Amino acid sequence: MTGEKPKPGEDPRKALGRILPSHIQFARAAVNNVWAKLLVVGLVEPTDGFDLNRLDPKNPPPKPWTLQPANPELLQALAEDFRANNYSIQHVIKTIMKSNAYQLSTSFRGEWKLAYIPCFARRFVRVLSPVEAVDMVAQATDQPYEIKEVRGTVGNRAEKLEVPFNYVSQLFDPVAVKGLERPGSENLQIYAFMQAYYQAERTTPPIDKNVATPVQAMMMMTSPLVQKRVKAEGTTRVAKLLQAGKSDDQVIEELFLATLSRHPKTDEVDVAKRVIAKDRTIGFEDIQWALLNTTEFLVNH
Amino acid sequence: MVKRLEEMSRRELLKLFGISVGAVIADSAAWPRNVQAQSKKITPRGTARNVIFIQNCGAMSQNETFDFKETKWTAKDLNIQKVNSEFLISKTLFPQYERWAPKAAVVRTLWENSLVHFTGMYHSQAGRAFNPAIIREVPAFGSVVAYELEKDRKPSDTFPTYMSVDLWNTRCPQIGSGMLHPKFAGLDLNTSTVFDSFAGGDAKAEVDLARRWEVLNRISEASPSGSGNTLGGKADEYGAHYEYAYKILMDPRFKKVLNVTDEERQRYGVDKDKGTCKLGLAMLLARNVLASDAGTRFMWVSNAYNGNNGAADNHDQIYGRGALAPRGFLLPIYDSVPRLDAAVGSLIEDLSKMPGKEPGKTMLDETMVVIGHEFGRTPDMNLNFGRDHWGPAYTDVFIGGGVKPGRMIGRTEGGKSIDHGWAYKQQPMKDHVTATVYSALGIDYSKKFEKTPSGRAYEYQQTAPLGGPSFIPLTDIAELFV
Repeated sequence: MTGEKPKPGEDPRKALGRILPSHIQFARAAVNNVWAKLLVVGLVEPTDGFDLNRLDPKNPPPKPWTLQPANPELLQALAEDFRANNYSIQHVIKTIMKSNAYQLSTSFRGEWKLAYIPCFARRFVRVLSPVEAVDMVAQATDQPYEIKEVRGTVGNRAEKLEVPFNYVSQLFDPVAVKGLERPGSENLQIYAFMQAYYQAERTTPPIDKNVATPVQAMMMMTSPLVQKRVKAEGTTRVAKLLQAGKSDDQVIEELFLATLSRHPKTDEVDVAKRVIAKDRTIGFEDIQWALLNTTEFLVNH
Repeated sequence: MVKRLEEMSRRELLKLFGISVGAVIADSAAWPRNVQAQSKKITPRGTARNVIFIQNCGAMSQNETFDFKETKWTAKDLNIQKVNSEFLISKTLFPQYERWAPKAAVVRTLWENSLVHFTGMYHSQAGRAFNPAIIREVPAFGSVVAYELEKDRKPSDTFPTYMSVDLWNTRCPQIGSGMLHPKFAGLDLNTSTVFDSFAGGDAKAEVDLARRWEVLNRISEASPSGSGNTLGGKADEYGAHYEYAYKILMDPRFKKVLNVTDEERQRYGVDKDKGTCKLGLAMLLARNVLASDAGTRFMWVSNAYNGNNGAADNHDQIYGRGALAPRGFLLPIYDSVPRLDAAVGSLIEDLSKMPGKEPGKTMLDETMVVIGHEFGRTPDMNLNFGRDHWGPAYTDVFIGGGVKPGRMIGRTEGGKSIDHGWAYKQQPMKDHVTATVYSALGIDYSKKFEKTPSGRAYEYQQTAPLGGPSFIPLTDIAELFV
């Protein structure tokens, strides 16, 4: 983009590393990626589809063309700030997270209009990633996985792990849980769950994963991974809370905190108490199951 | 700085559509708009009520199977039989060919310009060539089928019109519904997990689910975010999907779909199948879903085996057995073809014995079964005694649903078409297979969506030039039916 070539005798890779960031587009693309990751939608979309002729607010393209970024001045300012701070990703993340736009609620008072989207006038909800979805079930129910072996990178063979992984996010490649099913192992169920969330393989092209489907609902409602973890048996959260002799209010409070990261409202406590009135154990199992299936749990908001 | 919609670029609109889909098309009639027929007068055939589309992943060699050609490399033990004067078949590879081959019609001169498994599979699933610029808005053509057949759905229908089996484990997984409402996205069943995940439910499990559903609704009503409607976007979609999913899970017909006997497993070759995805189970699910008459009309079945390109990607040792057998994801043709034969043969046999919806008709009369491929395999062997990707001529198979048995369309020599076998100068392509499926289901494939997120019209059957200067003829493969 700059037209510059490696200096005589210069290592071409080092030259690429020197020349590439010297163009402001490097910084623009980088901050736009961070923005898109944090705010669900980038200032330029798709994030790999920049049109260099439509980025400069001081030099707009001739009509009918329009400037490409949702907010060209903001994109430029973030890019220049990124460059001025030694290309620190941490600095960009901090800057964005301190902004009003990032801190807005997903709830929007008033009538929402499509045209507000480029203004980032609310937080955008997104579907959980495959790994987030499957790990959050384990985390909310306090029942981590025991991934004792993974598919190795060589020859497609199983590799036994000396120390089992408890969460898929600990794996270098989440796809490694695929295809290894042993008695008592949950590997394939974990992979099936992630598949419902469009877990891509390394060799497959990215499909837009921000898609809610009925299969995700079916999985969350009936997958053995979930069924087992909502039961008041063994070391699940429900089992431990009941064994600890906690009061109804305390158990309800802890289930809401662990699953939805918030305290229950009065109305919710009332509903929960009616649910456990008939059978306390089954009632709390049902509440744990229901909380996992609320839209509040199902989306990143 | 609020941009008006008409000022936004195509790409901005695509993304906006993606994140606000729930709000924009909560009413399924709201999008797409301006569905119009093209100028050419098309009368769809309407010969089939259902379609089962089998994607034979990996591009099984036509040279040993559906367009047999004996060359100096051909194995001597293939035991070639004559189905009809133009259809030779190996009894070694297809020991049960008599159950399906006499009912089959074959198109041998299909042409594909993209010789990559992903793009080939994408082309099959989307019914159009891969174009990254509009990937978000392009639906699977099964989704378009579902959109078109929505008007035929009954209140008792709980299954989606478009379902698939083992699409998840292919080189090109579910494309989704693109610009169409998410309810047309298709429901993909995974043969390696669907039985464990959903079949185990007994009467108690149903009682439990019904009770928990009630708890979920009560908690959602009391929740500050309600059923998610203040969150907007994706949260709105989940509300609709949960209603859908609950109805399916509580429908006894879904349990019946998952009820597979030992005799059926044996007959469909399930027990011999070492793949993660078992083709016999996929066929049984397809059969059972259609037989349940719960709303599904279009079944996509992926012969995925162990994922990646599929078991038939025989670049090495196509006849390899023992120490020479191909490894990893692949099977020698002595294993991959009998596996297909057992599953397809049993499916066709069963469909031909099951009563159709119309008196006097069988399920096979009302169901078009297609065996599709990404592309073909080279007529010559490579140095590893395998066959590589080949676009000039490949073969798809059609059975039932109004297809005339025994039709052999097109002739090839040296891997190239010497007689296209139909009315056009160009060879037939995947787009014509797509049009054939639409046509058989009574859908006018000349329609197009004029208003799309990108602004480009979406033709049901793609006609834009592909890999050459000529427009693709707008037609189904009429010769299959006459």
